[in-house]
Formats: sequence, C-alpha cells, structure tokens
Amino acid sequence: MSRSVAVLQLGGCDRCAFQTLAVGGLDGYELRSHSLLPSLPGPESVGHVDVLVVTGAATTDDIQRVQGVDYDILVAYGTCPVTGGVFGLARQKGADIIALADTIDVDTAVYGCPPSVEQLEAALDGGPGERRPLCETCERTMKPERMGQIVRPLSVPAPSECMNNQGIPCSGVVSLDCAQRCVDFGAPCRGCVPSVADPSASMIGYFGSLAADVDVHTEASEWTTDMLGDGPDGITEGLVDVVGTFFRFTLATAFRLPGRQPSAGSLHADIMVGRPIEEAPQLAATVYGLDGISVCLNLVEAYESAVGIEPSPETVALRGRLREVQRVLRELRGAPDLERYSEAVAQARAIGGNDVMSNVFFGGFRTPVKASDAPYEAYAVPGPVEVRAVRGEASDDFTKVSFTTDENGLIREWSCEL
Amino acid sequence: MIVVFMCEHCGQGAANTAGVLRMEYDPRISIVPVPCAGRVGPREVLTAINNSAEAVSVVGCCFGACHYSNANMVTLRKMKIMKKFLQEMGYSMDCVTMYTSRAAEGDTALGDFEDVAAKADGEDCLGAARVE
Ligand code: SF4
Ligand code: SF4
Repeated sequence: MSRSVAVLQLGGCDRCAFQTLAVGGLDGYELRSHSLLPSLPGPESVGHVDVLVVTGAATTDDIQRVQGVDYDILVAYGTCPVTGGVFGLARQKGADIIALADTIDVDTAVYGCPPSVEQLEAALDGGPGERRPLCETCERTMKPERMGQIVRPLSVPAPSECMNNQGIPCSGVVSLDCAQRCVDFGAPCRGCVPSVADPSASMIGYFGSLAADVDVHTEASEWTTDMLGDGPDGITEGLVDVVGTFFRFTLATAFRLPGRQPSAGSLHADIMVGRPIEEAPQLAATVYGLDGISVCLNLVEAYESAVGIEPSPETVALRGRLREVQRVLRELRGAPDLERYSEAVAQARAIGGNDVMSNVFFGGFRTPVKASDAPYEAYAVPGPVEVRAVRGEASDDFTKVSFTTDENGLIREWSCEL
Repeated sequence: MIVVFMCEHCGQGAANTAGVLRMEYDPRISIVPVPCAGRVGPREVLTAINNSAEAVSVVGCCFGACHYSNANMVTLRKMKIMKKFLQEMGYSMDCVTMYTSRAAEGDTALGDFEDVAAKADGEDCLGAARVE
C-alpha cells in the first residue's frame, strides 16, 4: 500500500518546495496535496495523510496551519522549518520568523539550504542517512595555529589553507557535508547543515580561540583592575557582521529575544540590510529563490558599476548564460515542473557553482566554471572588491535592485522589484 | 537575574574576601563558579540570556595572571564578539561584560559588581526589553 503525502510550503523561497514535487514520481508514495499544485486540494482538506512535509520559513501563525493537518509523520524539509533558516535573519529587525521545530515535534529534519532530492527520498524512507563533517571533505588543510588578524573575504581565499587559518570565519567546523558545498567555490561556509546542537555559539568559541592574538580593546577600571572595553579593535573591525556571519541560519533558535533594529521595509530587506557587500550576492541568490540568479547578478553589476569594476567579456557571457537559466526558472513559477526545474538548476550550477551562486563574485567567478571552455584567467575574479559608500541600481528582464552601502561596505537600504 | 561567572582563583577569591569583610552587593547578582574565565564562552552567555538573564559577566584573573596559560585573554575576544552581536541586534553592549579582580582585595570584585549592575539598568539593555 502506498503512503500518502501532503506538502505544505510556508514562507521562504520556493526551492525546497520545488524539490518536493519529486514525491509525485516516487514509487510507494501518493502525493495528495502540494502547495505548488493548485489542482490538488489543500492539506487541511485531504483528510488523514501518512506524511506531512513542510518547507520554508514559518511565522507564528503557521503553527496552526501545520496543526490543522492530520498526519502521522512530520518531515521538515530544508533548514528553514527547522531553525528559521536564513529568513531568521529578519528577526534582527524584529520580524516574526520562528523555528517551527521548537513548537511542533518534527520526526525527520532534513537540513540544507537547499538540500537535494536524494536527501528527500532518503528522509521519506526512514532517515536522512549519515553525513560526514564538512571539513573532512574539504580540500583545505587546517593548522593548529592562531591567526594574526581577522580578514573579510573581499577577494578569493587561498585554495589550500583552511579559511579560518586565513582569518576568514568558515563554519565548516560546525557543519556536515551538504548539497551546496560553498567552500568548493571559494566561499566560506555559513552553516546551513549543522553538526552540533548549538552551531553559532560553538563557531564563535572556535573562531574566538583562533583569534586570541587579535588586538582587543581593554581599559583600566576606576577600581584599579582591567576590563574589556567597548571601543573599536581588531575584533569589531574584522567582524563587521557578527549576526550574518555566525547566525546566518540560526538566529531564530540561538537568540530568543527579538532584534530591535528598525525594519528596513520588507522581509527581504530586513534580511539584506546590515550584511557586508561581499556576502550579499550569495545571500540574495538564496533568499530570492527562483528569482535569485537575477537579483544576485543585478546586485553584483550595480556594485561593480558604482565602484568602477569592469567585468571581462567572458564573465559577461557566462552571466548571460545564467540569465537564460533565470528565464526558464521564471516560466516555471507559474507552471511547476520538476524535470525542467532540475535541468535548469543543473545548468545554473555548472556556472554559478551551486544552487545559491557561491561562485559568482564581483568582477568574475571565484573558481573555474565547469560549463566554460575559456581559460580561467578569462573570467577569474580580478582582485579584492573595494568597500565604499555607494548607491547602486540595476535591472534586467526579471528584477530591479537598488541599494545603498555605507563606508564599510555594509548594505544600509535595500529594495527589489520582482 | 545578573549572571556573573567567576574563576576560582582571583574572581571567587576576591568575592570571598568581600564576603568576609561583609561588603554588600546587588542582590540580583548570581555568581556561577567556574575553574577559569576560559571556561566561559558564547554558549554560556547565550544560554544565560535565553533563560532570561538581564546581563552576563565574566570575572577572571588580572591580565597576565591567569592560572591556565592566558585563557582569560582568549575569553576576552569571545566576549567582545558577543558584545558586538548584542549591539548589532539593537541591544546595549553593556549587557555582556568582562572584568578582572585581585583575590586579596574584596573591593575589586565589588567594583566589578557595581559596574555590572549599573550597566544592566541602562537603556536598550536586555532587562528593559523584557519588561516592554
Ligand atoms: S573550516 Fe571551512 S575552510 Fe576550513 S577545513 Fe573546514 S570547511 Fe574547509
Ligand atoms: S557550505 Fe554552504 S550550503 Fe553547505 S552547509 Fe555551509 S553554508 Fe550551507
């Protein structure tokens, strides 16, 4: 007898929801309801299902939506429903994003931003399976050495040495091997698949220990002992965005109080504002889901023209090919089709590295592009990206992005028309 | 509640000295003894805050006088990261602090306590946010 499945997409981007369309083609499963398929009835009206799969980031109201479904087993698919995921960053500005798994018992949590369809199948068949620590699978070598200073990843990190040893925080040490592998594309891991119960605290502990020689501000107290100071130092200058670096996927679980920064106007703006420019392309590609390629490229091109970076012809050509993929993804928004989606994502990954475009950077690509015959020099990142206060704006056939940065290269205002 | 982690050498030593001399300090202060300031990290800070602490502090030995190869200086960096975290979240940096004290001088610990308590009552502190 086949098992009945309902898929409920909450907030968040649509990537995980698209992957769950795979259930429709799995032997032994019957897809009764799916948020992307309006031809099927809603999950609350299909009666009892064996498995409920939830995807996307939850708000407080979503607890009731999930409780309104009659299911035996709850699968939280993707990091969002488990910890609040990357959308949890909006809590810095007080937004209502919660970790669903805090209030409702989740039987199987499939971490990943996004995971892969194979992981979904494994989860339905009883468990996500063993995963190795990310560092074990990473090509970089770790050394038990302290760093001299904290470094922002404004250029491509050296490929042989652990990024933490280079002074760049990489959460690989608290993460498991994953479907995106940002570290293979010159981008530090931000921890969407944790290997420990409290990844953010563990990672700050680890990085803080390595940073034990970094200059820190201290002062003498009036009662004649020394104390930690609040002034600028190597810690505050190197870590311009502690929230986005160490709490990228965990803010809704690791810190229980709502953030008190003013809202930037929308959920997506609340996520983007405060983030450093070097992290923004990948973050935009992540949170804008099926429009992510376009938003990511517009952001990159807007900043490039504001600071005077001229991308090479091959870089421009490769971005053009990414936008072809974007066209397909846009069409799929109204007519979900897993086969076409998977094909398009495979093409995007062959250029942008992974689903969240970790290989895309200012001026070029961080690592050699699989789908290019040109020599790497023809489209490599030319050098460090400069941080400056700018106003950037760019649009293509799909989205229009405008933003400002401050003198530290942190995003201060953000808007995006889809 | 204000959670103050104190190392068993200078930190608790100074607090004991203060106790023997019957010096008084803010009743909200709850001392958590630890072997060394180096034992305290972001996990302890976040756990305290998530369990409704108004402020979290670490008191260790004087710089250069740590009994475990300068572990207090390692914690100093971690606490600075936590200060910056709170600030980025819209709270006062004052809610996480780190001090030193001298075992033989009770007033060094009392000075630390007074400062922690005064700072915990400041604007944008965690306690004020919970009352709202
Ligand atoms: S911390 Fe990051 S860079 Fe270092 S070995 Fe692990 S995954 Fe690789
Ligand atoms: S490498 Fe990227 S996708 Fe993988 S766990 Fe880290 S942040 Fe997530």
